[in-house]
Amino acid sequence: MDMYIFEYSELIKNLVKSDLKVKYQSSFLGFAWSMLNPLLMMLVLYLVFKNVFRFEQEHFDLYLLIGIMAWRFLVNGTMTAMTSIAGRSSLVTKIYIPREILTFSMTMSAFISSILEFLVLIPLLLILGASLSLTILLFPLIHALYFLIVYGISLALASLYVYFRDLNQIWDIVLQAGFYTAPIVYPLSLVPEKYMFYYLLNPITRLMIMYRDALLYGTVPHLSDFIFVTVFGLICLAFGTQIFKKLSPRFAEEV
Amino acid sequence: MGNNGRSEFKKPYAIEVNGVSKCFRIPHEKRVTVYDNIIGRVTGKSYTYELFEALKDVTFNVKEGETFGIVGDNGSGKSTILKIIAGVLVADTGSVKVKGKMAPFLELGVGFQPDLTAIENVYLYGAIMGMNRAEMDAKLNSIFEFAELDRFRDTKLKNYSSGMYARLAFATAISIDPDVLLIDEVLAVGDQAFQAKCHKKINEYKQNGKTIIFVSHSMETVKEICDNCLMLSNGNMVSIGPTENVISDYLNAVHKKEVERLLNQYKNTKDAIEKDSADPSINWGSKEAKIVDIKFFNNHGESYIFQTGEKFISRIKYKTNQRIEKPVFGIAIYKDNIHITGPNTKFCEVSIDFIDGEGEIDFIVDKLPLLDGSYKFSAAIYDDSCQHPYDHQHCTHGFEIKNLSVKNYGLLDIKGQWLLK
Repeated sequence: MDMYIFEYSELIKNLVKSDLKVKYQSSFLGFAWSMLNPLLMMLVLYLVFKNVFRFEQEHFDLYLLIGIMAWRFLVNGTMTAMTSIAGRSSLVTKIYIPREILTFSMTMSAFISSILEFLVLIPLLLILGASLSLTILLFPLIHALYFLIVYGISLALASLYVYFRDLNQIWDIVLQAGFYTAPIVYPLSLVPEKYMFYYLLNPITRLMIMYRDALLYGTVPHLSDFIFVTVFGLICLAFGTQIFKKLSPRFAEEV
Repeated sequence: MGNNGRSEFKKPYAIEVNGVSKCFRIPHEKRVTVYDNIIGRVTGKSYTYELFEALKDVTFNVKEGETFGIVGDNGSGKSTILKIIAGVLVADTGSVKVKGKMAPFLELGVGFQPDLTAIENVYLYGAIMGMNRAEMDAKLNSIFEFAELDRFRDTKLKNYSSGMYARLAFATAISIDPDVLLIDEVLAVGDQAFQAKCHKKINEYKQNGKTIIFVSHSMETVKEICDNCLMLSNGNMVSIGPTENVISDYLNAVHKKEVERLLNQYKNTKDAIEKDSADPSINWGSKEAKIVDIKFFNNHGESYIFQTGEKFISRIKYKTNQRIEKPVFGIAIYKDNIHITGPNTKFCEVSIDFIDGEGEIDFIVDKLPLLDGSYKFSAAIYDDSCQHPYDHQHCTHGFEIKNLSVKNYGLLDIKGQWLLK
């Protein structure tokens, strides 16, 4: 990764910290809200899918929760990082810092929020009757790979958003559609066998499988999943960086 | 030039700006959404825009420890060049080199978050300016002391009044200790006391040998603090050099209409005199010797807008059709029909044996003591007795005085001393 992350680590630390502070201070319940959201969503989906569609999936509640939490990182990360350039105009037009830092910090802030959410998951695993396994130690690695993907996408979105201010609407729709292309709220077994090959081309699907393997089922995810996600993450990062580099010289004129 | 001069010459540059040009695209129809773009495509309207050349081939160097001013009208490109030096904007062509740690003060309170407390914002600002936490820890007390906000350290910024905000922002900004400062009219905000504080701080930076680029509308401030200046007009370099010269160019350019009016008026009068149709109350004399032109100069060149205390040269061009023995040249300066002064060569004991043909004579004032206003100028050639006018032009020409640095009331700046008994 580029040097700016090390060179400006102090600034990144400060930006992430202040962003988290603002995020959790601005509502009365602060962090509790960001926890309640996935839990309530899980509850609703659980009731609907368990009783109406009658999905038979072991620990379907936790299955949903992990899926929702993992998905939330992509949504929150990209949606907040998208405005990281256009939304902090004084840091773009009044001083020079590598602009990637702004996007990186916002993605990082969403990343940390996501980790905090997952931390709450651990007692829930026990409460809801699943067992903790050592494979949980793989979580940081999986999450870090996921970060590559989210950061790469965020770089592209943040730089494009400067020029196209309705991109957030478009991206919102893409995300809503994307939500159903991965096994977040339904069991993987629901996907017809003949589509499985294409279905597995979605790196988010792979990630969902990996999170559940490591956190819920106590099995080590497949090496092929790791490789697939890593390669995709690096491609995202390279792609995002390229777009960002190409568009960033005129940021100060457009913001 | 001795050794001294040479070492001055060798002083390294802190900022080198080389052939910088910048063009902005100003679209006729701003398309800021994907929707706009698709509609634009479909309806077949092509994407058209005006090119606005904000800077054209700007080149200058700033020596280490120098305070360099950039002046010009609105839209002259002075903020653009500052932003390019700061790295915020990217030049189309040319290069900018900056040596040392740079702190741009293009705006006070960059990155301040209203939802954070004052102290958190100070740390955040420090980080933006490239300081680490320990460095900021050491400065914290002095920042809040300077801002006089010690009691409000933990107050969220959104609860600050705008005055408190400005004070905190300024105190935080000046706590940064860079080698190169870029200052963009930050001083234009705030009350008198605040501005005085800013000036003091800038002078302190100067004394500590910092390199400063200072962009401003205020000629008073520029005159006070800048060693050298650049004047931009529509993105072009119009004048560069010692501050005094650039300010003179600036004043003459800003008051261009006034200058043109003065020159036109004089030209019309001159033409009338030439055709003997001038009002006898402004021109009289036997015309054996004639005043054919009057021009004003300062140290830098021809000028019709002077500053109080500036060098003033009036140059009178004359022509005789015969040999004139012992002529006396005189001038007079008027304001609103008040005869302020009227020196002549006889009073000043400058004896001129004779004049014949064409020639010029200068009346030079090292420090013009006149204060703000429009002044009229007369010139005359008399015989030795001062009774017979060869040519007398009464209040035919004029000039303006802009006072930038002298504090006084009235017409004249008379130097004196106060002695309390």
